Parts: sequence; structure tokens; C-alpha cells
Amino acid sequence: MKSRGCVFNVQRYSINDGPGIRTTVFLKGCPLHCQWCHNPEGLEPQPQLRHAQSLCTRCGLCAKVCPQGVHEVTPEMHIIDFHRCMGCKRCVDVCPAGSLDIAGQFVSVEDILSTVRRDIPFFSTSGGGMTLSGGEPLSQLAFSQALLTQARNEGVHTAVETSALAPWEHLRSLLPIVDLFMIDLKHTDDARHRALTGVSNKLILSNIRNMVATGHSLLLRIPWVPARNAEPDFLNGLEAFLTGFTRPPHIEFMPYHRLGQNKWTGLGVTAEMADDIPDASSEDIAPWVSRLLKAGISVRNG
Amino acid sequence: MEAIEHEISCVPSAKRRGSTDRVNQLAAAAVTRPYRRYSEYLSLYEAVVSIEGEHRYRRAARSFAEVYPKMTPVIRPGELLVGAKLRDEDTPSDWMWIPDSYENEVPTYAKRVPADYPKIRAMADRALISPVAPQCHKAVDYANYIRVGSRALAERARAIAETRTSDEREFALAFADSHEALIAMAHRYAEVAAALAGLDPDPKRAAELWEIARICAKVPAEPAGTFHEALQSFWFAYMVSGDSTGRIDVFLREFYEADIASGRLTPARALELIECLMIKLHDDYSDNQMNVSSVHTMTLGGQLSDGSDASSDLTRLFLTAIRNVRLLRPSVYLRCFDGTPDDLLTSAVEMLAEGLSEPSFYGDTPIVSGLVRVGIPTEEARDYVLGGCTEVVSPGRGNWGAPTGWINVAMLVDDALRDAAREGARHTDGLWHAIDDHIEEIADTVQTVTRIMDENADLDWHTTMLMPCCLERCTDIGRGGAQSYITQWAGVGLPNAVDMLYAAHHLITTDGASLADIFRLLDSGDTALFRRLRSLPKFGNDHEEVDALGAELLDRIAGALERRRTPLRQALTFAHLSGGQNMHINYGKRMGATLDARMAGDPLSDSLAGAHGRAVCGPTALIRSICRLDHSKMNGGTISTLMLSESDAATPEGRRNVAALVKAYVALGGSQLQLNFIDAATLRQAQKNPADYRGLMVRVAGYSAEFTHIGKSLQDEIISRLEGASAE
Repeated sequence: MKSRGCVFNVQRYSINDGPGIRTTVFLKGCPLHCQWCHNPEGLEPQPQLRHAQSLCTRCGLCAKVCPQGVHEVTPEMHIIDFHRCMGCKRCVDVCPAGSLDIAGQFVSVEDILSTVRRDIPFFSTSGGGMTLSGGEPLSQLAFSQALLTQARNEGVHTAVETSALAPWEHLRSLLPIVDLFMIDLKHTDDARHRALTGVSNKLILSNIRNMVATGHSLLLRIPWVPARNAEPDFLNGLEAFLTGFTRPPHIEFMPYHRLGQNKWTGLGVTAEMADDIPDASSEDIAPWVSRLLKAGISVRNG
Repeated sequence: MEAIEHEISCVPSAKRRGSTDRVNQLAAAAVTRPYRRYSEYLSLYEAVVSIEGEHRYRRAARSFAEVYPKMTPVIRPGELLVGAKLRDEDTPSDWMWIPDSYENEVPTYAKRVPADYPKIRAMADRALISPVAPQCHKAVDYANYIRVGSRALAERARAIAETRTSDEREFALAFADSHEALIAMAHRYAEVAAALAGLDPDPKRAAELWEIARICAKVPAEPAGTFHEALQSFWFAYMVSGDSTGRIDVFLREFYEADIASGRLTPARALELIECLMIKLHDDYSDNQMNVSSVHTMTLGGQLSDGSDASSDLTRLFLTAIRNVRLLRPSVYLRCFDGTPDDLLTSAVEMLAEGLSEPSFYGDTPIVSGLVRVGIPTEEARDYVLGGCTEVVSPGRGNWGAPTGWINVAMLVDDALRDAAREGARHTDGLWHAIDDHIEEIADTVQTVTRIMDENADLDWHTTMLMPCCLERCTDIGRGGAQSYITQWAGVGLPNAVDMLYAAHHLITTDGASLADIFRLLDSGDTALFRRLRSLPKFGNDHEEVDALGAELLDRIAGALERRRTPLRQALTFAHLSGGQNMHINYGKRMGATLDARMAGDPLSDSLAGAHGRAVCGPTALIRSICRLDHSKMNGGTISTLMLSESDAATPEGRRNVAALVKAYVALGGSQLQLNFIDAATLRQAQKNPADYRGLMVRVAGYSAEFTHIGKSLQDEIISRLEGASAE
């Protein structure tokens, strides 16, 4: 129970991270670098400074207390040198607008569960529970295991959202303590996967095959990103991959939306975020859905 | 239920209202008809000459008899239910209710304190309390009335008169006269319907008019025998007394089921009749409401007197009718308990997701146990309905105030904490000591005010004549005619008061600060103190310590009221609501800056759902906080408004989750809950004042973000998307 993890958010009333009303725990650290990532504060494993430009009144108090010279504030602009930040939180504490915070803190299993437990009445009426997300929950395996085990012991339904980029043994270790796996698949073509996320998909595809073979409850989620993975090759590859199973997993599409965009500027990592991606809608995905449905795949259009 | 679903279609189209062309046309006429004075009705009343020495009961009955049967019967083309007051074609309504337009109701209410109580008048003038009336809202005994009918009531009244003298005899005779007048009114409708039937070239419509003539000749004189007769009888009575319909799905059920069993009625025809009633309720009671739904209130579902589920197919038909006609009035409440069928909750959420503002929800358990605690018998308590905005009333049995007046809880606690500061309080005990003193003072005051208002109460004959329990006592509703008397004083600003109390408690115990210094800084507008106050935990965020202070404060206020009674009222009770008069704004305007980090003049909270912009941890945390309060201590009624994103209810799964929120709220002991699916206008406000809207989540597709944390261009886009979705 001494296990501590770095968590950047515990979101109550999550209704898009598995069945029912859920509490989603966002763990920091991810081995992928998807161009469209909507939780960029989950990428780095360490706590990091975050700034909400829309709340900032440019009062300059942060610049006065910062020992590192991270903040430069003029009446028009607030410029932050994120790389110099040591995470001392002094600026966060003085900010009157609440526009600064540190994304990520080290917490115990009990810290998390004391929040999760609060919504058990809502889990009961909705069929919900706890979801681990991120970042990548498998990047903090021991902590995730401890968290899931304890939640399960307390009768809470458990789900994990993962890229499945981890040794199969790690995923397999979670089978007895996870009710539902939600694995994101970004592309079936390895070269394209590398280009879009920075890593190979070989291990991911192999883990999905292994997971399907176990018969465990699994939802395969496809972020559908215009000008990135929304291309015929992926649809073809996806159909081929899925029809290769005797009992293919359920699919859910997640149309891309730019809500995460401002988070990137807030973290000082603008360069990585492509800003040319348009929003997607359910209608855009309809042809993909009907094609997979024809192939006998069970699809939900998120 | 299967049979109904096959036969009856719900009509989600924005253009059409109701399940038939007839209803669609009636509804279209109702929503376009201008609001005009009921000039004929008003001039008939003005023409009533007063007779020297006439007994007040007889005078009321004579006035009634000189007005109601003399009103020109109004039967509109296509109507199945008839009865309306003639509208003036030219004169606009002289009094229009437009919320937000109130300058300030505080001085108006203060004048209701007699001048020989200067201390109480001063309290009312500074917006600490506001007396309203000894009885604002009520539900008369429609259930009994349509089963018995006016003739039997009049006969009984004449028989009682034979055995009584003086006031009681006058009462009974007046009661009989009034019911005979009501019969005369219905007979005029019967005559006009028959005349119209003879003239109508359309044989189908002529047959309908003959049926209307037959029904009006029978009810409300005789007991209703069919569903259609019961609705018509109800409507004639509603034209007299209005307000809350009572448990309409309960008392009409026997008529509906008998007609269905005998084959006289199909569910589709029943739906059409209910839709006709909904149009009447929207359009034909009052001439002075413009754009609010309240004052007319319908209660559906909940527990029967024996504790079993009251809902039925008829409850579902009512929900379907309300959904089909999509009209502003009445306010609809769905009472809920652990036996409420899931499909009712799901239908209710679907209606809200379609953009209707009805229904809202009420949890039975705390209301019933709170009423029982103050001496209302369990069977009567389980029969409670909602009247006015959200006030708990007894259908046909009680006079419960609903509300008798308002208490500014925020000012009460601010006063008390300032006293504690002067006394140099260093511990939380000292704060409670001061608060208790102020609670006792307020409780004594509202006890006195209740007594004075009861002593000076106007005769409410329109209510009395439809309360057969008053006939048994030969006394009007304001003077002992009802079975039960309690009085509700509605608190305003409890969340603000809790936040103030927590701030004072925290600053003196944790920071070791002096409360006097804190108030000095607060009153001088010290920004550093304001920041500090702002940063403290607030009610509505599932913070045990804050919520516990709220629960304690509520227990002390409600306890002090419930320990008191008046000659007429068996207990004073507490409620929490700010009413259609927006008392949270009126009171806020009269108050300086407060320790909850509220600026001078800013509104108080309009519901239990935290002070404005302070509940930032989402709906589940908010519900946990609200439900840490003992809602049985607010048995006069509450409001809790939950803001949800429209997309939360966009899918069947999302709607199940919203219904699960309601179920959990009820299971956790919550009373009233109303859901607001956020619209673009709210988001525009959030853009302008981001600090007030922290925690407002926007959900688009599978992702969500805190609205105030995203950039303006994206905010604009989400707003325009919302506007696009709601346009049609």
C-alpha cells in the first residue's frame, strides 16, 4: 500500500470513459506522442507547471515570487519559460486568478480511493465505477495494480484506458483486477503509426490479439483524426485486422475535437501540436461505421 | 403499457403540438393569444354592491354567485374541455409578471408588518425577514370534489346549517349558495354548447358539442362518472381556485381505468383529453403571467398514503401529454422514491433533454419524515403535493403557509458573526453561541409575524368553498377550517451562510486571526483578504467539514422554528427557496460584502446548489454536499439546480446516466432537484465572467474540458455549435 503514483487529475462524473457514471484517474507519463493528444499534461512522467491564459489577469504576482525567473508578465502578455520551472508551486499559491497550477502530484492509493468512494452511490445507480486513464496507466504499473486491486476489493467496477504499449505480461497481470479494457488503436500501418505517434504498433497489435484471445471484456477505441489517421489505408487495415478474429472485439470511434488544443499552449509545448486538424463529427465517420458493420463488426460511433 | 406505446405516438417535432390536429390547433391558438385582462370577470366583481351588516361568508358567497354564473360561457372551436374567462380584446393586462424586472420587493413586504411592531418592521426593512401572507399556495380538494359533486355538497351544507347557529350557520349557507352558483355556471355552458351543437353544420363537431352539453349539465353538480366528466368537473373547479392541481394522476386514475376496462375510452383519446387539459392549464386560468411556469403546479407519481407506488399508465399519459404540447405552464413535479419505476425517470430526462423545462423531481422520503416530525399524520404527509414554485402543500386538507414569508439566512449569519467579532470570539463555540442568539430572535419574530398575519387574514372563499373539510368545521381555511396548520418560512442564502461560517471558523481556529480584524478588512474592501476568503473551501464541493457546518446550521434554524407554534399553527417549519420574486437578488442588493467572498450587492445563492459559481467539482460532488443537509428539516420545500451539459443527455446512455444522478440524489435523501442543460447563453455569461463559472464542463463527442480554461476562439465555436443545435 506504500505505492505512490503521479496523477494529474481525478475526474468525477466522467461519462465517456466506460459504462455509467465513473471517476477517471489520469496518470502521468505516456510512451506515445500522438499529434492530436488531448491530454498533453499526461505525456511527461513528472509534475509540470500549467497556465490557463483565459483566467490570467497579468497581475505579475507570479513573476515576483518565482525564484527561477519562469514568468515574464507585461500588461499585454504573460510569457512562461516552462523549462526553468522547478515545480516549487510558489506562483500557484499566490496567483489570485487561479490561472496557474502544477499538473501532476504524487499520491497514494488511499488518496485516490478516498475520492473514488464518494461516488459509489452514483456507480450503483448508473452501473459505473473507476477508470484509469492518462497518460498511460501501464507506465505506472505497480501503482495501477495497487489501485485497481483495492477498488475491486471495495466492490467498485474497474476499467482501464490504455494504448497497450507495454509488455503483454504487464497487461496480463491486470486481467484479474480489471472489468473492462479500453484499448486505443491509432493506426494499423506500422510506418504511419510511427509517423503519427512516434512509436511502432507491433506490440500494440500483438497485445490486442492476446487480449481478444483471453475473451476478456474489451472495447477497441479508434480516435478518428482528420488529416492524420482518417485515411483509406487505415480503414482497409482496420477491416482486415478485425475480420481476422473469429470473435472480433467491439469498436468505438472517437471523432477528434480540438478541446485539448489550449492545454498545449498552457504547457509550453506548442511546437508539437499540429493546429491544422479540423474537428470531426459523427457524420464524417458514418462511411467507416457502415463499412465495418457490413464486415460483421460491432461498432459504436462516439 | 405496451398497448399504450403502440397506440400513442410522442411528437418530438418542433412545429406540431399534441397528438392530434385538434390539439395542435388549440395549442397554436393558446400560445399566440395575447395576454389580456379578464375584463368581464373584473367588472362583474366591481358591480357587486356591498350590503350593510351582511355576514362576511354570505357576502363572499353572494359575490361568487353574482360573478361566476354570469360570466359569458366561452366555448372555442374544437375544444373538448370548456370553461374560460372572457378576455378583453383591447386592454393589455395591467400587471405582468416578468422575473428580473422587480426593482425590490423588500419594502413591499415590510409594509405587511403592522406599524405597532416597529422592531419587526425594522428587521423587515433591512431585509432580514419578509412576511408574505398567511397562505400563499394551496391545493384544494379536487380529488374529493369531483367524486362528490356540488349538489351533494350544497345539500350537506344546508343540512348542517339546520343544526348550527350564528357564524357556523352563515358559513354553511354560504357554502351551499356557492356550490349552487357553480352548478348554475356549468348549466349555462350546457345551454350554450347545446345551442352551438344545433347550429354546427359539421355532424362530427355537433356530436362533440352535444356531448359537452350533456357533461356540463351533469358535472360538477353530480359525481363524475367518466374520465371526460372528471376532467371537465376538475376544470370548472380549477377556474375557481387554480394553483396546484394536486395529485391529478392519482385521483383521475379510477375514472381512467374504469373507462378503459369498459371500452368507453382508448388511451389515445385519453391522451387527447389530457392534452386539452394541459392547454387549459397553460392558457385559461390567469391573465397576468407572462413568461414563468410557476404558480400553476402539477404533481405526478410518488407514494400513495399506504406507501406503495402511486404511478400508473395515467402518469405516463400525463408525461406524454406534457411532452407533446410543450407549453410553459404548469410547473410539473415528478415525486420519486425507491419504488419509482425507472421508465418514468428516463421519460422525464428525455423531456428535459428535448429542451422542456419540466418536470423537476422531488424525493418523498425527507419531505414525508419532516412532515411527520411536526405532527402531520403519515398518510396525510405521503399525500403532499407541490404548489407555487416548489412549496410543499397538502391537497385538500391543510393550510401550510407555502410560504408564510422569507428569512434571509445569509444576513442572519452575517449579523451573528459580526456580534461574535465584537465579543472577541476565538473559538467556533463562540460563533455558534452568537448564531443561536440570532436564530432565537428570528424564530420569535416569525412566530409573532405568523400570528399577526393569521389574525388579520383576508377571507379566502375561493379556496374554502373547495375544501369540504372546512364545511365539517363550518370555518374558513384561514381560521381553523383545515385539518392541519403549519407555517413555512423560506430561507434564502443558506449556501452563502455556510461559506461565511466556515470562513470565520477557519480563520479564527487555523489562522488564529481576530474576527474583528477580519470584518474591518472585509468592510474596507481589502483585496488580499478577499483573495484569502475566495480560496477557502465552499459548500457544494463535497467538503465534509464545510457541509457539516451547513447541516448543523440548518438543524439549529429548523429546530428553533419547529419548537414554536401559534394559536392556529401546530408548528413553524423551514424551507429553502427564493421564489418567483427572486429574493436572493433582492436580499443580496441590500447586503454589504460578506465572508463567503461575496461582493456588496451581489445576489445570494438562488438554490441549495452552492453559492454562485462556487460549486466547482461537478454534479456528483454537488449532490453529496446538498445531501449532507437533512432535507427533512426543509419540509416546506427546497430548490436545487443542477447544471448539466446538453450533450450529457444527447444519447440514450447519457440519459440513463442523468436518470442515475436523479436516482442517487433521491437515494441520498435529497428533496427537490431540477436539471438545467446548459445553453449557449450560459456559456456567453461564462465567457464574460469566467471566475463565476469555474467547474463548468463542456462535453463534445468523447472529450470534455473546463469551459473557462479553453481559449476564446474555441469557446465561441462551442457556443455557435450549441446555438446551431438548438436552432432547428
